Amino acid sequence: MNELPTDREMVNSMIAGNEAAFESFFREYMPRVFRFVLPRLGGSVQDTEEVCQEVLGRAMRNIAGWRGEASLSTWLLQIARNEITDHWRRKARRASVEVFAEDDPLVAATLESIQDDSNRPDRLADRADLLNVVHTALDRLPAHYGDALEWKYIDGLSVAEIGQRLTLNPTATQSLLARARTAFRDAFTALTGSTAGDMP
Amino acid sequence: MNEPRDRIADLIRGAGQRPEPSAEVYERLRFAARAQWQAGLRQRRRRRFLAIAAGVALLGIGTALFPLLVSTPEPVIVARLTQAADHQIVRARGGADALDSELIGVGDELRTSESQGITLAQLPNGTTSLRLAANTHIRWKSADRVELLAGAIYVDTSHGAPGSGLTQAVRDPLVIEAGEARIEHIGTQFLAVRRGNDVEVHVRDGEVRVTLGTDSRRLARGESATLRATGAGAIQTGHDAADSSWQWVDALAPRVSIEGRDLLTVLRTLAYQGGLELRFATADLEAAAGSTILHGPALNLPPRETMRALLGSSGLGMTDDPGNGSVLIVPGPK
Repeated sequence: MNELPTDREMVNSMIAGNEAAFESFFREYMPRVFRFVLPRLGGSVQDTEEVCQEVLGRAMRNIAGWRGEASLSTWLLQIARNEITDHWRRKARRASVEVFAEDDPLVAATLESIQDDSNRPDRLADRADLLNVVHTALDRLPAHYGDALEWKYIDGLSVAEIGQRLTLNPTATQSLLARARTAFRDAFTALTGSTAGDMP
Repeated sequence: MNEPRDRIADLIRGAGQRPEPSAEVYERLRFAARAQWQAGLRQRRRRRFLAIAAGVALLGIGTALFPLLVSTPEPVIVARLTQAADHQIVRARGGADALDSELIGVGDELRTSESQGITLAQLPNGTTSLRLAANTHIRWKSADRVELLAGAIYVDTSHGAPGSGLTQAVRDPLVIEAGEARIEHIGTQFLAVRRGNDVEVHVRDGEVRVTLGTDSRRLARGESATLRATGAGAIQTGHDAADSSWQWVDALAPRVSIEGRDLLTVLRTLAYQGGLELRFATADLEAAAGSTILHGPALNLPPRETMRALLGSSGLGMTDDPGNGSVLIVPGPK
């Protein structure tokens, strides 16, 4: 089984000037940042692009400062939060108040701990619509988990085809899909307070 | 017996694909992020170099090692080619061969063909676009300094309409040099044409500072200047009459995305790109444009023609006056 590079390895390669590492980083994280920012700017693609540029620019200039204490995703999304606040300040207009379940510190902590498969809270308020919750949950998983679930359930790819995309053998792919499902269930539960099985 | 339902599969299928940025947005962000990543790399290398140099100096052998330490050429990306065809890039020595074909590094030269111009987007923040006429030759002296060796270059330092959220000209300095002449924008759109040792500058919007030797002038919208480097050197200023100089500039204007955007914003962007003053016959028409959401791909037409096409499909019309550079939005034909 081929091991997928960890975030630490990817960042170290980027710091060393490795182009392929930059491309992997961008492919994996830019869409997540984009999806995080978009609803927080009222769905304006133009404003989202502007803010994403600031977020990624700041992250790229300071990538050596990522210590790995929080996940790379959490680190990036914290930069995004700051940039979104600055954006509204710059616009000097009142943003409509939009509440996102994943901004709740407790939910954020739970999402952060998913890779450890532990520390799940029981119930959290239901604050976002189902579609957004599912997308948010997918986005907060390790990228290849979210992609694998989409490839399987939306694109209808076989285990072999998913394995090919991830350069994993069928057994490793099956195992990854199982872990991805568990992680998704945990993320979903953290965001809604209900399990997938509770859904109508 | 019914099989148990897979709730996770149902949820993911029900939610559908996660939204993705368009290919255009993806590319722009990748381009900008990559430039910042490279800038960060350079900064860290510079710091490391200084630390090493300090150590070396203390050991008294700095001079011997200096050439070795500074000879680490790395391409500094300054621009990306867009809407490019039929051109030649002469890469800087020791520089940018490793770059993608659409990327330009410091020291690179770019020549357009006899028949076709080119549109460039300049780094670092993507707000400046440059358009080169056919038969133009430029060289990037640094990230914010372009030498016009021959031909004509059009500079748009805000890359969008006022009020569209894309006006960041102040953060994107750029100087055009042509022989002895130097042209600096102060948030603007302008055209510089080199004719031998002389340079013509035409300001379409905003303000420009032109300098020749010790003589420096500011030019505003509609003004022009000829900078004569021959003889004693002189700057002659005047007012621009509407002429055909802008035709090639408009033909190379970056295409404006319309998908999901309101007609009013798109019209403002196009009017800005085309150097046009946008007016509405009634406030109701302006409100209607603001509430009309467009769908579809960017049109491959110059700004004025794109405006006409979009208005036509939105039940509106326009009357234009090429002489004074304004368009009036009117109700569409019944």
